[in-house]
Amino acid sequence: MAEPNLQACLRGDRLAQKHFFERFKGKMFALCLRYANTREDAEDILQEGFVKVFRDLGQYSGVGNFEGWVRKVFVNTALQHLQRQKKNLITTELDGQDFPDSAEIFVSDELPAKNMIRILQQLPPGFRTIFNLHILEGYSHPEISEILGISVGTSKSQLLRAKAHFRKLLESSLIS
Amino acid sequence: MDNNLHDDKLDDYVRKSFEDYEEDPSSEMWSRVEGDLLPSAEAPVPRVAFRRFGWQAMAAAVILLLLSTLVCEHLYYEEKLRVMSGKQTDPLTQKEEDAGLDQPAINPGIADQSASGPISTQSNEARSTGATEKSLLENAAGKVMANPSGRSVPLVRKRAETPSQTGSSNIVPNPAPKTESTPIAVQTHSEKDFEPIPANEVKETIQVTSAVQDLANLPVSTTTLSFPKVHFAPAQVKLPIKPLREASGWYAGVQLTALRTIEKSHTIRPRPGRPAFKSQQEGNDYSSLWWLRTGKKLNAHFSLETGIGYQQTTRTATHTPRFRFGDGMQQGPPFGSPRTFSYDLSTYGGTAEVSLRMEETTPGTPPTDDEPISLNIKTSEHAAIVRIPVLMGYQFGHGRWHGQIKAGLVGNFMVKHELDLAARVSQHARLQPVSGKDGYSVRLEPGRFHLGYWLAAGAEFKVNSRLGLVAEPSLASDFPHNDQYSRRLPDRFSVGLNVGANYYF
Repeated sequence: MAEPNLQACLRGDRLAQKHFFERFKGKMFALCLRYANTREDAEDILQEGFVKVFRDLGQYSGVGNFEGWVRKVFVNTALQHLQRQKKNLITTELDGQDFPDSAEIFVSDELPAKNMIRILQQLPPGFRTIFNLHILEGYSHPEISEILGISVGTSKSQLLRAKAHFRKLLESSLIS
Repeated sequence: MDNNLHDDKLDDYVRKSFEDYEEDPSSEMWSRVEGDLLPSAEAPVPRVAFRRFGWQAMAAAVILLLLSTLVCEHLYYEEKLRVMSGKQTDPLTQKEEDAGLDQPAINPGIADQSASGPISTQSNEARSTGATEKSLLENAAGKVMANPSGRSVPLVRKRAETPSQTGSSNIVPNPAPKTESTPIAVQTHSEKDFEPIPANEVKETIQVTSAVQDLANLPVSTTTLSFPKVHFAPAQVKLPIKPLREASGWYAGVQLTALRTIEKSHTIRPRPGRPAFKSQQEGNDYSSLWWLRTGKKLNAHFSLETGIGYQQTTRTATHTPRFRFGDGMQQGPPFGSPRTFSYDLSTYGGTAEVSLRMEETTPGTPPTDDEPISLNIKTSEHAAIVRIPVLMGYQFGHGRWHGQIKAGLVGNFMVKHELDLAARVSQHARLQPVSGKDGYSVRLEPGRFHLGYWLAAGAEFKVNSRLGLVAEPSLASDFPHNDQYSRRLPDRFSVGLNVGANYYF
């Protein structure tokens, strides 16, 4: 697919914006699904994210990977969405969270990623957020602590718990 | 170490799973994004600029109008005062001229010299005969007009005072037994009645011939004197500025506040079996708020103010409810009948319970129960709010301009609340909302009370001791408040300009 014309998008050219949307919708929706509780929430994030990208396109300096910049906008949108859903959701859920019952894991012959998204969505939002930020987005613990407003130690300890929880859910899924 | 290795493997496994993974959103996603973007036709800069600065322009116009009024009023009263002061001096001058007081005013010594003989009939007679007389004016002038510098200084009459205050007598006795003329009453003035005016203000001279009979038996001499004609200088008007009564400290006024409201909405928690959606304010919300206010000055700086305000506001908002087809309650036969979808909607006035009726566009195979349905709905919410403020004010400055700061609480009573679903657009090809008023029903919470705060800082211009004009930018907001299910309602912040007039009792 040809690269979208950013200048035209910035001018508000609807055709160029649609081209841009088609170019990124798949990847960004996959990202949104990883952060959201449900598919509907992911669609909300995707919608809000694209509006932000079109609005803030002028802020892209041209330095660095453009897709990385778009991804960052969507990650921020997802985090804001989660925080709006419940204030201080991330920090409160990170403190002394018991693992939920993993008996309801849905098993299918779908692609591993699709199956893994279902598992991710069963993680508490706090665990899911740190898991995504560190393992899939590549943020370091100091960066995560700054983004989420928690200490580096909390970030590390909660990631370990998130991984343990994820592994447990994954094993249950594979066994079934 | 093993654990770390295990973790690394897990990390890699997850990363590889998501590598290049893409998933398409629903087909209507682009139309949703497009709906949130400003239409291209509305992009031109002038319109955006107007929208952005709309309320500022309104505020500037109001301030300009107010300032123009104040300047005009100031000029009008200045002119009126000038005219009044002119009118107050003119009658005095005219009266004195009519009474023939020019000359005594020029030389009040005549009054003191009146003991040596009447000046009235005889002097006129002598003048008419052309006889030479010895004037007493010389002597008199020597007494009255002398000043420490030894120069003659013309005198001007001071502001009128009563004879009793000056101590001089109006009746001049006639001690000359050898004359047969009848004494007449002459208004006299003492030195205190006059004040010198600079010599350089004397612009012309007149010739006066006066005849005075020095002694009854001596020959009458006539003397012609030349001395400056003195004009009456207009007396300086000092109006008595005394309040007729002490100010009570109470005041009352009418004020109008133009407000622009900004909203922050919150996601609301669904009730069991009933989805909930938040509505998002669309565009700017402008409204006007009329006040009747009264207050009392507690001391030179502080005052307490209350009153009653009435505000009508219209809030336009959008929301996008999403359901599964199976969520709809079917009313009627199993196939082809409309389905009712119910949900909670957060609005400014509280949570609305909305029931929405959807019908199939074409008869045929109905959608499956899992099939997603979404709509774009535009709402129009009308509310009338009665506001009762309790504000503490701090006033500073002196003269006509005073700065003032006010802060306090406002009780808000919603006396009217209506919600219309102005537009309903289905995102599903085979389902559409039932048209008309049958297509939906809305149940609103009864009138609610919530508390807010009000901050204002501005100025008051005192037109006179009774009337003051007020202009103050203000900021108002509601304290966080919940619906009947303890779910947070949208927060609203209002900025605006408050103008009005106060009358001080």
